[in-house]
Amino acid sequence: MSFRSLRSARLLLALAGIFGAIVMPPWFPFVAMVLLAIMAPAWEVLLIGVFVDLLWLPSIGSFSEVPIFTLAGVVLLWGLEPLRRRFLFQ
Amino acid sequence: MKSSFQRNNKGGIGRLVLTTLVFAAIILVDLLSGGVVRDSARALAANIWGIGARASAAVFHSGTFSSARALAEENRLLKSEVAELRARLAGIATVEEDARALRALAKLATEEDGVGAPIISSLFSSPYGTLLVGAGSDEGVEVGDLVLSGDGGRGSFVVGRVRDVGKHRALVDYALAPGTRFEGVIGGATLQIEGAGGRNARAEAPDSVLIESGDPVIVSEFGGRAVGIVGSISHDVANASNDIFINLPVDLGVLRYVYVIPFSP
Repeated sequence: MSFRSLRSARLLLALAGIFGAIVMPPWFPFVAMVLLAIMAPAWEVLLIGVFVDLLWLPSIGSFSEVPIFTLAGVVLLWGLEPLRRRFLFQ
Repeated sequence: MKSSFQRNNKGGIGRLVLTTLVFAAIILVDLLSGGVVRDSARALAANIWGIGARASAAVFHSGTFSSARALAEENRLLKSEVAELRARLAGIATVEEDARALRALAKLATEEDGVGAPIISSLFSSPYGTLLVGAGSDEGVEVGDLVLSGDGGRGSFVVGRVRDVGKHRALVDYALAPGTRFEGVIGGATLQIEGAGGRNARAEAPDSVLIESGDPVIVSEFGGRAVGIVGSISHDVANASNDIFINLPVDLGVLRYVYVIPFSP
């Protein structure tokens, strides 16, 4: 995959994730996050995660609520970094 | 291929740290500002949802997708004049739907003080069982207020409770969201009700309790209001109990307006 097509795919997935957060069931933005995270160390993963929680969680930073999508974004972004390095970059 | 990935990965860890810090800062700003960022995110979502809802109403009421064959026939026979009439009818159908929903709210408004509000988000997109309504602090909505469906002839039902309030929007906890638990009274017995998502909830009742299909499910934490009715009952022989399946007799797919009333438990 070339740099340009990778960038286009990232943009499309990010847009799909954001729009999916508004109009689609919750699994849709999650799938977009997973695909983005597998593809590249994409900041869009966190963007979608934080956006979902800002949108649907009463208060994202309070201790009474667990921001599942933000945490999932952090885990995907950081947790898949060794995998990306091992299989994509070597 | 290798070089492009390597180019992407330059300073990868540093970028990840920076990204994480930026989003942590956004969350911090939202917290310190009392929800300015989330209110903006919800405004954006409400606008996108509104555009989509209007577009889909126009398309589906126009009969565009009735069937290809029917459309072909229609096009051949009626041509542009009828197409124009159909477009007008689509507008009327949308207005009629609005009027029906608002009539249901108006009936409720004669009995209770409150605020009518449109639903401005999908009912099925939230992973947290929440939805957005188009009334906020400027309209008098407060955290804890009850959100009711309009009275469409079968009485009004509790749709949920306000959890977060913006200026012109409020986030509502859907009463029957998956995983919600509350006590409800059915057939005179107090039972543990568990939300199952969509319009459904379930409860388990001992054999001795006489429950019939259609019985209302009254919830004291919602001020003794109904959250639904008993849909069906399944007898569990092994446990000498009945599985009660509860549903909200309101079609969430067409629910467009709700009525928000002040409530303190």
